[in-house]
Amino acid sequence: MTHDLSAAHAARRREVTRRTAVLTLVNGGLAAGLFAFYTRQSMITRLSLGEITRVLLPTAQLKVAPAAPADGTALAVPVIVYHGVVPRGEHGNVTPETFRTHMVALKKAGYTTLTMDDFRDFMLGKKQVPARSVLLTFDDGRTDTFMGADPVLKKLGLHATMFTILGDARSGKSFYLTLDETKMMARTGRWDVHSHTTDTHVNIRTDAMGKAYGHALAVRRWDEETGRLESDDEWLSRVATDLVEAKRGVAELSGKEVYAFAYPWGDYGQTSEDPLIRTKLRQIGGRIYPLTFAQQKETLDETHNYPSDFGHIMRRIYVHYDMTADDLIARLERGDVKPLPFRDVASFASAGWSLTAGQLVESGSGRDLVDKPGDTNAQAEAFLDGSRRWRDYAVRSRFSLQPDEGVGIVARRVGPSDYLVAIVQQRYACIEQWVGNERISITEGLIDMTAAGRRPHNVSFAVQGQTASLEVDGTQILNANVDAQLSHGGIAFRVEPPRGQRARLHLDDLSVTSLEKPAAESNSNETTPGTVTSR
Amino acid sequence: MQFPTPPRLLRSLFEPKTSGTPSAERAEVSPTAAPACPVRPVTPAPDGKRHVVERVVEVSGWSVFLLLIFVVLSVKVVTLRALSDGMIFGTYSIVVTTYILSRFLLAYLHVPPVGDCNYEPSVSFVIPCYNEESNIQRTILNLLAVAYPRDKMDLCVVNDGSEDGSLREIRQGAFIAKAGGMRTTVVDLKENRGKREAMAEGITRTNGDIVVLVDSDSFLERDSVRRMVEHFQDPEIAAAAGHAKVFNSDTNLLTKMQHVRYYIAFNVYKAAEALFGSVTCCSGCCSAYRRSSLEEVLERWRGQRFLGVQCTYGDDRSLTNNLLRLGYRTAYVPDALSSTVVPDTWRVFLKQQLRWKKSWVRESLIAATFMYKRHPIMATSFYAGLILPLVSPAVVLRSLVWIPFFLHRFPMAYMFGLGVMAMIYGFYYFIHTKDRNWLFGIVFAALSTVFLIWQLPVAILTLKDGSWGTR
Repeated sequence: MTHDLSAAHAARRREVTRRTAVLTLVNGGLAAGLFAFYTRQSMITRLSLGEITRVLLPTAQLKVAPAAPADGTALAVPVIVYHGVVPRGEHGNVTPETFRTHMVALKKAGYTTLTMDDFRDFMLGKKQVPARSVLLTFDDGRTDTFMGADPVLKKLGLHATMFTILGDARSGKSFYLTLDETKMMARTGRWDVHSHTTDTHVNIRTDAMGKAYGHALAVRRWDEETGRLESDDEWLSRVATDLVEAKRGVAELSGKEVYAFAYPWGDYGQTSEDPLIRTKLRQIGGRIYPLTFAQQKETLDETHNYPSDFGHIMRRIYVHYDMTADDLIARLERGDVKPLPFRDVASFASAGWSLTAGQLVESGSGRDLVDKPGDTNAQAEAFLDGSRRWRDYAVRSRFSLQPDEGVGIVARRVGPSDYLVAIVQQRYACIEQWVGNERISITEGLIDMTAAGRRPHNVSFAVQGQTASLEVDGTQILNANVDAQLSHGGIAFRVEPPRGQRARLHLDDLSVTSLEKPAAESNSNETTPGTVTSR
Repeated sequence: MQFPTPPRLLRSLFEPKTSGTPSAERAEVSPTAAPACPVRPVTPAPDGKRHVVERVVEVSGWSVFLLLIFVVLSVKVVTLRALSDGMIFGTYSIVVTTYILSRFLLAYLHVPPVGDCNYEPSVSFVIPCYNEESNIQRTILNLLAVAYPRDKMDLCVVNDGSEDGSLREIRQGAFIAKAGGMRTTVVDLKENRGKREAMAEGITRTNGDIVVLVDSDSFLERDSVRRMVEHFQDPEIAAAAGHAKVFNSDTNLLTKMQHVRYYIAFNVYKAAEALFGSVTCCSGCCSAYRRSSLEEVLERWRGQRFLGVQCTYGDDRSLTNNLLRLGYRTAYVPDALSSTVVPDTWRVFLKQQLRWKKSWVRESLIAATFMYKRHPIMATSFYAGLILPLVSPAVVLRSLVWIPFFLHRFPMAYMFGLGVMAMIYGFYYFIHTKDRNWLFGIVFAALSTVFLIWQLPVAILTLKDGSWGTR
């Protein structure tokens, strides 16, 4: 009965063949599927389950009522900077939840997120952008950033810019988006990719002992071989090489020209004691990249960027992880361009008042400008964010003066070190001009307001063209010629406390009226023609 | 997934081990005209009347099974990228996935050889019995139904000094067996000498060419003996393990879970090993041995000492190991069915598991000294299978203690991996059995990964403690 047995053997061989074939097919299918999965959407393959549950699923359920677009066009644009999008927020790394609420708030508040091209053209004055525009940026090119942010951007139709560290993208570390992934990110159309250095987003050694370290761009490197800090030329060469390489390398990834650069840690040498670095770093950056960005953790400076700032370093709002959506919107609205005439309904009531020193505390009506507790003899200062475009105007205010207390009305303020200030004390008044943190002129005079006692004084400070004039209780006290460099700028108030006492300033009244020709200002019809100067 | 080895190695797996062609071999076995062997289809022929629903269930079952595997592999592709961040745990995760999935793949490739019904060597059953009064008689009587020439079988029941009514039950069973024409011997050792001694005694008292060792609580099915015996046509085969099912699978949750677990352990893990003729444990429930090979290792096995202590537990694994060490091949016979009684209380179950783990540790360490000589895939998976469970407690600790309580994160990746892997087991069982108990299999897989694994350190620490410790 050979037949039966060989039939059985044949059947077994067929079965083995069949199973091998099935397995080959199945494995081939699995391998092909995985390959497609990996190459087509290499990003998705890096999604962790945490990202799926924390980002993708909640994002898919997002419903946002589209806000009515804001009327008009923007005069200034704020820039926001985020870093990582991580499960547990810290420093500049927000959670997916925080990021989502921020973006929803932006959308609800009617903000438009600009492309970098739009922003550049706006800054060049070549293009108008919607009134509520914002440039959304992310530093470092981290994987978690993209994974956490992109689904939200996609869902809400927002646009962002990634400042990629080229060297880290090349390294293949999974913490950073790789070169291929960066290319893919650029291809989504939601992301512009710009430069955040090649290899200098690190701390480097600055002394022989290996104890001192500093931001690689903003310090001179310790050269082990020669046993000294690098020379001017060596520093320049190192920094410029790195920035040029990043510009070229990132352009390969984005397929577009790279003209924007974010300084690592927002450090463009501003705090360096090395004159070379303090002056040259921003020059090199600006030479290689037309648009350079810093970041502001503090609120000392204005929030918005004006086209007149082109060539300077762009301000960016640094989003701290515990910033709520309301905080963010308030921060963006703080810098909204303020039209003239401006009138504060109560003392320091406008959301635009921003502190450079001291604090604003609630008082009976509005807020009082006071020094920070613990600082004796320290002055307090608040500037009106969004007033920088003002040119010719009169600041009319009413406030009480203590003996020896000085109140400064700042006008034509374009920054913390460029402004005009009228300082009023009971027996003294002056007008100072500051440019580049140096006082370039002072006009002073003696007055006597002691007779009025504690009664508030009407103090008016007017700037028009090249003249500035100070008026107290209807009497002109001082006149000054204004330097050509201070052609425009916003207002601020400061208070210098009497010796040994606390500073406190309450404005009983504040209004700012335009002194420009009615034709020049579009909404000057609200200005009462009679209230102009009292020259 | 791709085989890491060249196809030459794979092909060698399917080549018959005996010299000459199948027909030549057959002629040698049965020189005269013998009754025709019924040609058993390797897989059941598709029955036209098969229910459509069943068909749909099967197809969708396989689809889900493959989908789950795809999901796991996709996740692993991600892990591959993240390897640079967590070398040790990333590697563990990839190796363990590869190991588990490869079991399924290799098991699928395992096709039992064709047997010749004219090959009928004499068979001896040996049943060691210790305090098993409730099952022993049934075990004996069960053998009467075995489809094999009665004159070629004999039975030896060894009473290992039972303190209950086992001896009475044995005598009663033996009486009926003798009446049924089975040559039966009952050996009463008077005192408890341990399972090995009892088995050895039974082996020496019998003389069949093939020795079938049966546990006192295991019940053989009708065709099991013939199925096992068929494998011994291959002279390299020294042992063949049957497939054990759980007899009391309906008792409670615990036995239901063990039922699924047994299915996977035999049909996936043993089958994968059998592809290379290297089944590492021919389980005591029901396994057949070639007497000539058995006699080579009997004394060594009987007197086995480890760490200076006489080995009592783990007799089956040890016996298999001794045969493998000599280069013999061991087979798994999926259609040689038997049923065995499993613990139905957690206390006994955990005790049994600990005992198994102890013998696993001991015998795996011994096997590690010669397993490298086996087929490269077998060797690789053996060593992987040895190291993975040893590392596993650390992984469990990291995922279920360190990550949630110290990093305050949900161990998403681990839980996901665990869940999907358990589902893969569950689905495999479901597809093959259409049994609704597959859900218990999922529970068990997760349970054993997270909790039972902790017996392993205990087992290592108590390795020297050789108490008998079953029931």
